[in-house]
Parts: sequence; structure tokens; C-alpha cells
Amino acid sequence: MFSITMLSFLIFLPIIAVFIILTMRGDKGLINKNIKYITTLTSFIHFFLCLYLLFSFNKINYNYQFVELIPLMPSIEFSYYLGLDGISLIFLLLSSFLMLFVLATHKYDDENSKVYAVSMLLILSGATGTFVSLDILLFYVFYEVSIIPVFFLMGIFGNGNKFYATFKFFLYTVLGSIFMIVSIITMIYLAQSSSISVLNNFVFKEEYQLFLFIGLFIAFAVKSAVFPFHTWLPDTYNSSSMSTNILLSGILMKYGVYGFIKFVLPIFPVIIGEYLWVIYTLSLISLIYAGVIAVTQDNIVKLFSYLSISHMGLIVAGLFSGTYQGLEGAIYQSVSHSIFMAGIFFSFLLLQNRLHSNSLKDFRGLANVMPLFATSFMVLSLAAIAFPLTNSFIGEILLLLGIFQNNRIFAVLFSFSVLISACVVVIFNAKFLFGKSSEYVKHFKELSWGELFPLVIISFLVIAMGVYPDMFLDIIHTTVNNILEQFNNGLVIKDGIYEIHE
Amino acid sequence: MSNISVSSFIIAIPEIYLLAVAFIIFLFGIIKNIKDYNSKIVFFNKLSHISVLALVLSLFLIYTIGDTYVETMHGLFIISPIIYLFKFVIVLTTIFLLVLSRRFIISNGICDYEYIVLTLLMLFGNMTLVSSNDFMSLYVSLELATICIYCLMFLTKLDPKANEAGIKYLILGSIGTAFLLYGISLLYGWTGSTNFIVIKNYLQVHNSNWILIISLIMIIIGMGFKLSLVPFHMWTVDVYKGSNLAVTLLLSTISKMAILFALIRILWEPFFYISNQWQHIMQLLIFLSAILGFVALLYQSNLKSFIAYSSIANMSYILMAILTPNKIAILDILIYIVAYSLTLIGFVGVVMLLKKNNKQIESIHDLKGLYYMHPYLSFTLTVFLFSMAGLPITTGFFGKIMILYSAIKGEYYYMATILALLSVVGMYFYLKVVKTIYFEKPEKLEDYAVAQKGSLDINITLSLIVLFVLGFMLFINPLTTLLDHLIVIF
Repeated sequence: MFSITMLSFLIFLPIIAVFIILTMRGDKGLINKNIKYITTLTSFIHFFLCLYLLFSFNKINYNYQFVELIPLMPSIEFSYYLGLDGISLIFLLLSSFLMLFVLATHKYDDENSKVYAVSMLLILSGATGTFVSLDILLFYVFYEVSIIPVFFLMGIFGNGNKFYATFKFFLYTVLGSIFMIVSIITMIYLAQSSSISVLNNFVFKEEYQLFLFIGLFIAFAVKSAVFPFHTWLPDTYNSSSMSTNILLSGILMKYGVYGFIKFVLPIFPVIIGEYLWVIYTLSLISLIYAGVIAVTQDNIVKLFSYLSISHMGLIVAGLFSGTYQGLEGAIYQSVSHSIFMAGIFFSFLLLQNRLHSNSLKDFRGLANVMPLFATSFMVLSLAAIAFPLTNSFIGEILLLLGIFQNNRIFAVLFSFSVLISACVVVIFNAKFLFGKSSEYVKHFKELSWGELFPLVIISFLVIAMGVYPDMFLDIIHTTVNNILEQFNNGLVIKDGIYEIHE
Repeated sequence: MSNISVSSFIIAIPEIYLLAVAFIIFLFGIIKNIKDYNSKIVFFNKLSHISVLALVLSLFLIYTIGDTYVETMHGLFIISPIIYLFKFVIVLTTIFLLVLSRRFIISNGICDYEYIVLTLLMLFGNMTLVSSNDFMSLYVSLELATICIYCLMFLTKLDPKANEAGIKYLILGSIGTAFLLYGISLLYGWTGSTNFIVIKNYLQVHNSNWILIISLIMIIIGMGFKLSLVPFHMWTVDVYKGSNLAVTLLLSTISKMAILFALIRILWEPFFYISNQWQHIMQLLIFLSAILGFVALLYQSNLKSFIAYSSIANMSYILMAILTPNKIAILDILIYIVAYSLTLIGFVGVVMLLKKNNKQIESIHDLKGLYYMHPYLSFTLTVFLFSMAGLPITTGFFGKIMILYSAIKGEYYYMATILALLSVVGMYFYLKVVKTIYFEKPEKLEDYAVAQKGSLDINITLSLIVLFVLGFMLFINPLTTLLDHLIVIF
């Protein structure tokens, strides 16, 4: 009985905490202290419950587990339909971990800590819902809900040209989602159901497929910042606070990858097969173009945001290759990207506590003053160039393997990814860590143990995932197989049986 | 469709009851004849409470009349499940509006009993408008409702702006009515009847010709004037800006709702068999209204012009669902219009509570930094704004989904996509307001907007609306099942 309502509990736990926080009144200092306790406790419980899910999850079961089904709108079969498969589980774990990381390391010492805690908890709730919903409309609801708190986080805690960036982020994302919602409604109308298991087995008419696919593709491409839809990302990262960036790159950006895997791959295999070259070209452009821009940046946050766009290009390409390795690589690389980017942004957060700046000029030669910081940052930045023994090495190898099986020419072009990231990060590190210290850096203090501890955890995870990838890959094998089976079945239908299904 | 002619007035009891209440309050006012300002306010408060209670009772009356299909008064007056729902919604909205605007009206110097009498009479007109099954009764009730609004506008006798707005509305409204009347007379000339069902049956067997088309266009123009659809929207901003905020709200919610329902009835009943003719006209109007409404919304900072353009934009959204005559579309329209009206009433209701430098708030900029003074009120405002913007888990989002769903069901793919995209343009405005509330701070302490202490009824109403807006997912299942059930009966 406990496991039946488990997923709902995970969704509503942060909301309960939000209500408690909203009703707090009285002394400011006491409130901040209580908020810290409540948020940390909530995120800890959330994380441990996710771990519980991990251990009680049956890894060889094809079906959705921990399923909950409450019908909401019978006329279109819209229902509160939750369930867990391997991919959901790994993304759920990821978002719960990152949220724990963000919430537990925050200081809660200003007048806006209420807004901070409430927004973060709402994102946690939204992310949980997004990753476990099996109903496409419900998925959309959670997907959209989680960007509203970001609006407040960026507007209140941001810096620089924050209003411009906030509106750009919000409207850009919503504009993408509008295309998706039109597609979703059309899909629901055609299939007369919004449940994912019905939609996955439904063969849409060929004249609708392209239209539906484009709608979903634009939305998820905006989220995962694929080439023509990436322009919101550098501005957004540059003018929001680092903890918001951890969430944006760690959770919200991965909505795109998750959506591609869950809702686009199984439903539109034919279209993907036909237009794969377009997707490959777009991803290749975002990989090389964003990488080249990243080399020239002298803003540390913008540099890493362009580097993320470049990484996401490879992930999206591998994902659409429709091969086992490509898909697993996409999932693995998304998770590792989230983790090492969280570490990198957290390092920047520590630096910004010392000097509020985003400029590379102000932070030169950190290694002279802060050797511990430099060491941990070096580990994280090696992950960013997919160095062996770091987690993204595994991801990138799998991705390139997947693309190679599908299209050799593109695979060769995509392998430039290694070179580009290496260029970016090595040149950056040479200026950032080594060389003559700038005048601000000279007065910096070395990290305290409290500051170092989160970095050590992240670095440990980066290396652990690089040494023993099966720890995570084990969870997704069955689900990836399942999705690929659906994908390939769809392709078979195209070659002859399609008319029978009509 | 059964056609039972009952000579009794039983099914018109809610309307008759409302009329009686209005007259009783009127009589009370005349007999009491209070001159003293303070005792006038006390009396007004009492009357206002009584009228709200009376309206709650009339909800029960509507409920007991039930969702039957009955025609009476020689086919002038009709009741059917859909009309039953329409009436329910209209009365419910009026109750919310009356409760939330009571304080505001008094503080604006209107404490005459006439206000309540006129509101009730307008409600009576709107209810008969929805219920009318004949162009004659439609015209009469439409005029009744509109004349009440003219009088409401003139209630602030000393305000030149309100008088100007009233006269503008009077003249332009008459032009609209003239079109409507001309259309009706042409239709009568061609079909020989003004009864909806007779016309419907006539058009089923006879082909349409140019007289019919002209009369159709005239009627749509007349209704379009009242609904302020785009080529006929010129009066809206001026009139809304000039009149009292409470009257603006009344004009943009209850009156719009009733006229929309009447338009639905006209297009779906008598003109059912020439739907391919009016669909083209309506599509054009929808596109124009959506583009103007959403784009003009971007540049607004005045509260009343925001209401004006947002009502134009939202009306275009709703009209998408009426393009295909289909009983299920009613459900979508109802959810959307209730969501929109209640959130608008809630939003304006909260704004009515606020004062800056002892003056009523007129511009969006006056809300600067409200979050730092009134976190709960600004939370309420934010919920309403997000609902109007159509962001999820609010009712506005589900309304938007339903409307898009029925547009897609009618295979208007391009229109649905374009209007959905335009709604993002409108979203910019709503977010700008949220930004003003949360992220900006006025320079001086006295520039913060300050709220009056809310009374119990206002607090209850506001929390009911917030609950409805935020908790829609909780009761979406019983609600849609109920509505489905009602509509299946039809």
C-alpha cells in the first residue's frame, strides 16, 4: 500500500513544506532559521525516498512500476497517471540530489529567503511530477509549472540585466511550449487519449506526423538549447544566480532530453528516420558553433553556458541515432553533465561570495591563492572535456558509438566534440587557475571545510560514475531496450504493415 | 427535441423572482428616502447584503427549475440544459462581483439604492436574454440590460468623464442596436418569423440567398458591437476608461457573458443550417480581435484599458470554440469564461482594496513593491494573473486547453496555433504586472500601495476564487462529469 502512493507523496511533500513556509510569521531571523531546517529536511526526505525507490525498483521489469491512476477528465481520458521506469528513476534521482545540494548549501540570511525556499521546493515538485507522469497532458502541466518559480528566482536573485533575461527566458520557453501544447492537443484528439501507453502504440496518419513532430521538437529543442533555439541560454545563465543555474542546467535543461526520449522517439520513428539528417545537422551546428563561441568568451558563466550548448548538441544527436548505445549514452551524459555542471556552477558561487563578478579578468591565477579550490575545479573541468575516468567520458564514448553505428560521416564530424571542449576548457583553465593572480584574487581566502565538502562530494561522484558506470546504466538497460523496440517496430510499420494499421 | 408548450410561468420563476426583488428594493429605497450621507451608507450596505442573499436564493431557484427543455410564452421564452448552465454562471458571477465591489462603490461616493436596483434589473435582462427563443424577446432583453448599464454609468452625476463615457456608450450602443434591428427585420421579411426554431426549420428546407446573408451580417455586426469584436471595438477603451471601475467590471464580465451566450444561441439555433456562411465571418472577426487585443495589451499600463483589451483578446479566444456547433463545446466555453471572469473579478477586486496616497489605484505602476507590503494580497494577484496568462494548474490553463481542443476538433489547426502563439504575446503583459509587484520598489515609503482591511465577506469571496483557480485539478473530474451528464440530456 505504501508504494502505491509513493510518487504522489514525492510530488506533494515539497508542496506541504511550501504551505508551512508560507504561513510562517514573526521574527525574521527565526523564520530564516526555520526555513533552513524545513527545506533541508524536506529535500533530505525526498532524496532518501528516491533512494528507497531505487532499491525497491525492479530492474528487469518492462512495465511501469509504482503506478497510480486517477481519471480526471473522462471525455479525453486525461488522468492523473504516474509511474516509474528506469529513465524516469534516474532523472528523478538526479533532480532530487541536485535539489538537496542546492537547498542544503544555501545560507538563508536575507529577506528573500522565503521566496527562495518556496520557489526551489516548487521546482522540486514540478521536476518530480515531470519525470514520473505517464500522461502527456499531466507531463505538460508539471513541465510548465516548473518554469514559473524560475521566473521569481531570476527576477529576485538575478544580477545584471536581469529583467531582460528573465522575460527572454520565460517567453522563449513558453513560446516553445505553445507549439508543444497544440501538438499535444491534436494528438489527444486523434488518439482520443492522453495516456502515454496509448499514444506510444498509436500510429498517427502520415500527413499529421510531421506537424505533430515539429511542435514537440521545437519545445524540447528550446529546453535543451539545440542550435536555432539556443539564444535564451547564455543570457539566462549570465544574469541569474549560480544556484538557479545549477537547477537550470541540471534539471530544467534535461526536461528536453527526457521529453525527446519519452514522447518523441517512440511516437514518431518514421519522421525521425526521414529527417534524421536535419536533426544531426542542427546538433552538429550547435556543437561546433557554440564551442567556437565558448573559446572566445571572457565571461566565465557565458563560457560554460556555450559549452553546455555544445554538449547538448552531442546528446541530442546520440539520442536520435536510435541505437542502444546512443540512447544510453544520451541518458548517461545528461546525468553526468548535470552533475559536473552543478559542481562548476557551485565553484563559481563560492567565488562570487568573495567577489561578485562574472568576468574572467577578475579571477586570474586562482591556483596560487586557493590550491584546494583549484584541485577540485580541475577535476570538474576534466569532466567537461570527457577525460577518461570521469563520468562524461563514458557518456561521450557511448554517444559517439551510437552515432557511428548509424551514420559514419556524421560520427567523424561529431567526434570533434572532444577537441572543441578540450580547447575551451584548457584555454580557460590556463587563464583561470594558473598564471599571475589578479589584484582581487590576491585577497581571496582558501575554501573553508564547509565550502569544500560539497565540491568533494561532486568530484567523488564524477569519478565514481566514470569508474563504475554500470552502477547507473544497470537501471536503464531494460527501459532503453523497451523504447528502442517501440522505435524499431514503428520503422517496420513504415515498410509495409502501415496500411494495415490504417 | 421535444416541444412542450406550457402556458404557465413556472420556468420563468427565477427571473420573475429577481424582478420582484429589484422592485421591492426600489420601493424600500423610495419609502425610506434617506438624505443623510452616513445613514445612506448603512442602508446601502444592508441592501447590498440583502441582494447578495437574494441572488444566492435565485441560484437555488434556477437549480430547482432544473435542466429540462421547456418552451413557454408562445415560444418567446425557453429553458434547456445549456441555458440552465448559462444562467447559473451569470448569477454566480454577479454574486462575486457584488460582494467584491461593495466597499469600492461606497468609497467612490455611490451609495444610492439605485445602484443595486439597476444591477438586479440588468441581471434580469441578461437572464431573459439568454433564455429568449425569439428575436423579439432577445432584442427587448438586450435593450433592458444595456439601458441599465447606461443608467449605472450616469450614477456618478458629478464626474464629467463618466457622463462622457455614458453618452458615448449610449450613442454607439444605439448604432449597434440599429444594425441588429435591421438584420432582424430583414430576417423576418425573408423567413416570415422571428422565432428561432421556425427560422431554423425554414432554413433547413430553403436555400440561403443574399437577403439572408445581409441580415446575418447585420446581426453579427450588432452583436459584435456589444461584444466589442475588432472592427466594432472603437468605443470599448473610451467607455471603459471613463466609467467607474465597478461598472467597467460589470460591463466586461456579466454583460459580455450574457451577450456571448445569446450570440451562441443565435448562431447555433436559427442559423444552424448556414453555418458555413457565418463561420467565415466569425473567423475573420476572431483573427482581427485576437491580433489587436493581444498586441495592444502589450502597451497598456492603465488598469481599465487593460480590462478592455484583455476582454477583447479573451473574447476572440472563446469564439474559437463556437465555430463548430457542438454541445460539448459548451463545456469548454463555460469553463473558459467562468475562469476568465472570476479571475478578472478577483484581480480587480483585490485592486479595489488598494489605495495609494489615499487615491484609488489607476495604473499598473501603482502596484510597485506590493509584495513587500502585502505578501498575501500579492500572492492572490499573482495567482489571478497567471490564470489569465493561462499558465498551468490554474483554471485559466485548463480553459485554454479546452478551447484549443474544441478548435482542433473543428479542424481549425492554423487558427488554434496562431491564437495560442498570440497568447504568449499577451502573457508578456501579465508577467510585466507580476514583475511590478515583486521585483520593483518605489523610491519613497508613501508611494507603496496600502490595502484597506478586508471584511469577512470579501475575504471569503477572494479565497473561494483562489481555491477555484488553484484547485481546479482537484474537482475537474466531478465537474466535467456533471457537465457532460447535463449536456448529454440535451
